[in-house]
Amino acid sequence: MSGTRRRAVVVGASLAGSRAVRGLRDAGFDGSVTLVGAEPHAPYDRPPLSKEFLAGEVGFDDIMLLDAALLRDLDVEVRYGSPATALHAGERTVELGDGSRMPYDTVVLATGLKPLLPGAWGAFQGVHTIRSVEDATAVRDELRTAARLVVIGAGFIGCEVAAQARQLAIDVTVVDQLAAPLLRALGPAAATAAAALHRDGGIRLLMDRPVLEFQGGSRVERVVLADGTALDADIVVVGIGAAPDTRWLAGSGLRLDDGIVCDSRCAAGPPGVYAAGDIARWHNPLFGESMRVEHWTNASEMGTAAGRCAVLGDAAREFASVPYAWSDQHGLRIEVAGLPQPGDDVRVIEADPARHRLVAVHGRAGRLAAVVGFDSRRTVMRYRQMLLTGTSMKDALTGTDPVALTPR
Amino acid sequence: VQQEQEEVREVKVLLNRSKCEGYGNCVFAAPGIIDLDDDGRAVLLVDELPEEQRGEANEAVANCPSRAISVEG
Repeated sequence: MSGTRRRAVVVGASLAGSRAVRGLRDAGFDGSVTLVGAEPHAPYDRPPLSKEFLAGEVGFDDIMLLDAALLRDLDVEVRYGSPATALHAGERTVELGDGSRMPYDTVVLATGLKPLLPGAWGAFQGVHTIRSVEDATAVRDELRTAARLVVIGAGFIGCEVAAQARQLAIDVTVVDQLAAPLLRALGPAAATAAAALHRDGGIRLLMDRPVLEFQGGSRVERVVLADGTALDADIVVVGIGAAPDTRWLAGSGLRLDDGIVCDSRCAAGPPGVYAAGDIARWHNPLFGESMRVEHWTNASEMGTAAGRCAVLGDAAREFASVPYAWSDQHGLRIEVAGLPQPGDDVRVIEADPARHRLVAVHGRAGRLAAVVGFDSRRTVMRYRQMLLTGTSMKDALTGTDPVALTPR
Repeated sequence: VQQEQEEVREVKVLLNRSKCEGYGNCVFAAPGIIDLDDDGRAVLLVDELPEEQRGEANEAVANCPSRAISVEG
């Protein structure tokens, strides 16, 4: 094969895939690069879909990630509307929906997540998840005439949609089976503050309540909870999480365990195979543990890293990263660095409940493990730096005053 | 001629402060090149870089959610 041009294929045309093509070129890859994506159009940023895009403040052109000029500069060929259906790691090809097989010397897998939606719920019109720009467009259009929105799931997407809908003067109820909004993502102290934020924002929160069923004709009319509460709804948004889109990799020989299992250089095992973004579970040397992160910053950083690793192999530096995410709700910036976990030693070091400001620091096994901040960018930044260098909980708390949270 | 080529290869970093929302990803991508000021907004520590630092500058551009950073040259 000497003398032939080397071939790189990136599967998944969203944020991580967009960054991977860039990472390949930045690392000096001069062979052919092809970006393959299931969606029919150019990659775009997803965070605005549950925020500014819903409000109609930005459109598709504003959130697009790779335009034609940039693709030309990077010398990247694209195949949009081409879902990958199989990886043949032995013969080094990716099979596409039309049955064709694309040969590769190196491949970066970045096919992301699929939102969870029970079939019985999805059977009704007016029930939506928000993952794609088409999903968000449908929700945006229906919110124009809706009077009552029910959101199932008080995670980031559910909370953002709820806050945005309140701006449109829609009656909003958020239901979750956990005790407080954002509990899994932010831990208990911040979740309590998030509950106050949303209640003050005019949202009805029904926490600790599982959903029994949806009712209606062809269109959803009502959500019934397990305790018998019936909620009338013109539109329902379901934000109960998403799962790695690995079904197409069954039989590929890749190790799949809540995502594609990778080493610290994004390598998935078979020669030339790398993964990045929401779908990749990698060994993060900074924390010494296996992680899968579903946030924008990780997809961006890891996409670049996977592209670089695909070119440089073991000579590339490891992908060591402090997970970071943000959310904007009711005009307030929520940030989290590190991954809060149940059982963490949680200390609130700053709190101003009247303005919904808060900083909570999480420790695990004596080490600083995460920080959560509401409108506290400087403090979050400082702790994020400490997470990068590795800091004991004792050092992390030096000079702070523990704040007693007043129950509201 | 050699010297001219080296000048051309210098990398210029541009920051649009009005777009900055203080996420801070740039500080991690390009430490020593960008920092946050006391208001939590990005500030350039240097604006011209040697070619070896192009990769860091590119990562700062890529990891900025508000698309406030660009690189010329």
